[in-house]
Amino acid sequence: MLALGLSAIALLFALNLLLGDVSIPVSDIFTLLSGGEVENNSWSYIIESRLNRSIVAIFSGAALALSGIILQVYFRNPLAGPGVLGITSGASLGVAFIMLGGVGVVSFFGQIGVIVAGILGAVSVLFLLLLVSKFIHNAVTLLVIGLMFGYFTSAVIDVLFLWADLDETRAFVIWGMGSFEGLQTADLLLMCGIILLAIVSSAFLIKPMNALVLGSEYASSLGINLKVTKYLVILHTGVMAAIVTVYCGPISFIGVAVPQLVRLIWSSKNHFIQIPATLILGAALALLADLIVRVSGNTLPLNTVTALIGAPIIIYTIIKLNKKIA
Amino acid sequence: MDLKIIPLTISVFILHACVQHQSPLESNQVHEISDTIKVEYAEGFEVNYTGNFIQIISHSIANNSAFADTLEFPTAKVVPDLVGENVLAGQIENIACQSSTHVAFLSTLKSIDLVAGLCGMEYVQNSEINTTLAENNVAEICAAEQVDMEVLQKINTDLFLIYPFETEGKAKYDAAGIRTFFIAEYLEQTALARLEWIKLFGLITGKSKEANVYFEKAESEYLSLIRATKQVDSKFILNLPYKESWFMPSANSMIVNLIEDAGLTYYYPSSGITENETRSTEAVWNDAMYADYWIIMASRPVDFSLADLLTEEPVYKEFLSVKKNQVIFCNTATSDYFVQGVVEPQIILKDILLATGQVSNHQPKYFSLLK
Repeated sequence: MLALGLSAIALLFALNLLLGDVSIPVSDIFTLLSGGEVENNSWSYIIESRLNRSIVAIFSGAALALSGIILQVYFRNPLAGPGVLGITSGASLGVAFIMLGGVGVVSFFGQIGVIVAGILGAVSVLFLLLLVSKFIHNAVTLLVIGLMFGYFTSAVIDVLFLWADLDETRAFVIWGMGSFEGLQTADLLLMCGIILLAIVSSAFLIKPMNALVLGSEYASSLGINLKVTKYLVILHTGVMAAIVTVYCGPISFIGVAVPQLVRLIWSSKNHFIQIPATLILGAALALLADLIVRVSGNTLPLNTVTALIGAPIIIYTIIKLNKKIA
Repeated sequence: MDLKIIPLTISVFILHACVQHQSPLESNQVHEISDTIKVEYAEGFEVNYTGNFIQIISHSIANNSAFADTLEFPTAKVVPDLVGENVLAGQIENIACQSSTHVAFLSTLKSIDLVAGLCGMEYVQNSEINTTLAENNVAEICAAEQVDMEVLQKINTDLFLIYPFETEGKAKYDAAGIRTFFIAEYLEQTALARLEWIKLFGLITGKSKEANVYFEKAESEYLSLIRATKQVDSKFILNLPYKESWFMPSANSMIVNLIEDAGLTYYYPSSGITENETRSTEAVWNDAMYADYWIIMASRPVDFSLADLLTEEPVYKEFLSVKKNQVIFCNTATSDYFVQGVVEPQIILKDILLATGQVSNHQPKYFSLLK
């Protein structure tokens, strides 16, 4: 099954390189990928752009899906995810402070400022959520509070719009639609490096997650340090959701829908299986969404496509959950 | 007392109330005609003169969403055939504008003092106009691009000049008792047609003569520049992308026609529409390998250079226009292109001609070669 998932990624990756508004012969694509030159100089940049975009999609999809499954296990709620719990909105707020704060703010802080602000925003929301979770143990209530955090940060962003000029507003609105496009190699390396680090270190969460499935008391009795686990959850999900949001905009549904899809396909509850499966499916879904965006001539925003794919999966999960409760 | 007289009195009273009275207008309510307006280029408005009033009609052009609006100025004291709601009696003393470009027309006619409210004051780059607006305590009537009805009602404007973006918007103003008129000069497809809207502003402000004089001078300069233009057999592309989308002006747009008046040819043929066309960045990268000129209107820092542009996207250094040093730039953060530029198409044309080496001895105001 995992091999099938990897094959799907390979196929979608190839299609992403092949398809686009500019038709480039396959032989020229191979020439360019092997470091050769072709007649039209723009083609090497176009292929580099498609390549970067596909890599960004793979890493972003994997990171969001991984954040989703970690949060779903930790909060013991299948509808949790970086978007639902307000983490993405927190990152957006951080970005908005820089992007809508005037030309001076952007030039003073630069791209690093945007990244730091995004991570701070995401981690702050998650930290607040965990603080609240000390007093509220009902998972649904916590989810609603997460949603409220999301609304609150969105409202603050709306207030920031009042001070923004037309260019800043337009840039922020376009960023908000989500896109895997536009990252240059240096940013790509930074983003993928951080995500890779988070993915590798998330291996430390597999054992606690397997135990947490059966409840925090059971996990504690197995010797899981719940405090350390909490901070690892904050750090991993906050950093991953923030880095993707900063570079690609607030991408919805992948974080919630992919873990559901994994549970539908794989019956195993072992996170040694579920986490790799989530990474592969997250990457594949993001590549598919981006392919649809490209085939539509970039007329469909990425968030529209992820919603079209993700929303039915989530609805299906809710119906299934209701049946279980009934 | 005979009670029969009561219903009779009531009937007479009702009948009297139902008769439409046509009291003659006061002298100060009659519009003064300083000069007759003749529309030659503009397709978005027309002016009709009758013996008793001037009628201005603004309407949609080509296949844009259909709209029409009428304004009538009485020119005689007795005007029997006027339609009530469109009538503006007397000289206008107070105008509100939804666009800063309206201010450019009014400023050119030295009628800036009429402006009582403006939407988007921050977009006016002209320091002289800004000073006047500040001195006159002109109200900012918009917040986050939306008209603030309370502020608008507070300034008690005689006429609110609005965009025809949404016809239901007009109904909202009508209900609030605010007289409006559609101004859609931005839909015009040539620079002279857009400039000709100054005549409409001349009519509104009672300065038709000044409007005619200004237009004829600018027209004459513009046409003489066109006559001096060589067909340079060079293609051009426009502007910069937003992420993966490159909003390229239509081949029928005013700016494309103006640049073509300078002898250049637009890379993209007409597709019949007048709105911007969205192209993917990779498609434009491919096309830019064959476009001799790249003309950009964008907001950038004061000392923005070609080197700065190239850091925005590595592929730009491969563009034919960059290799030929033929990138023409208008910094909208420092020049008043979007406002004052509307009434100075002859200067814009001359800027382009200078940048393409067709004229000399000219100090560029809006566009120049990016170095």
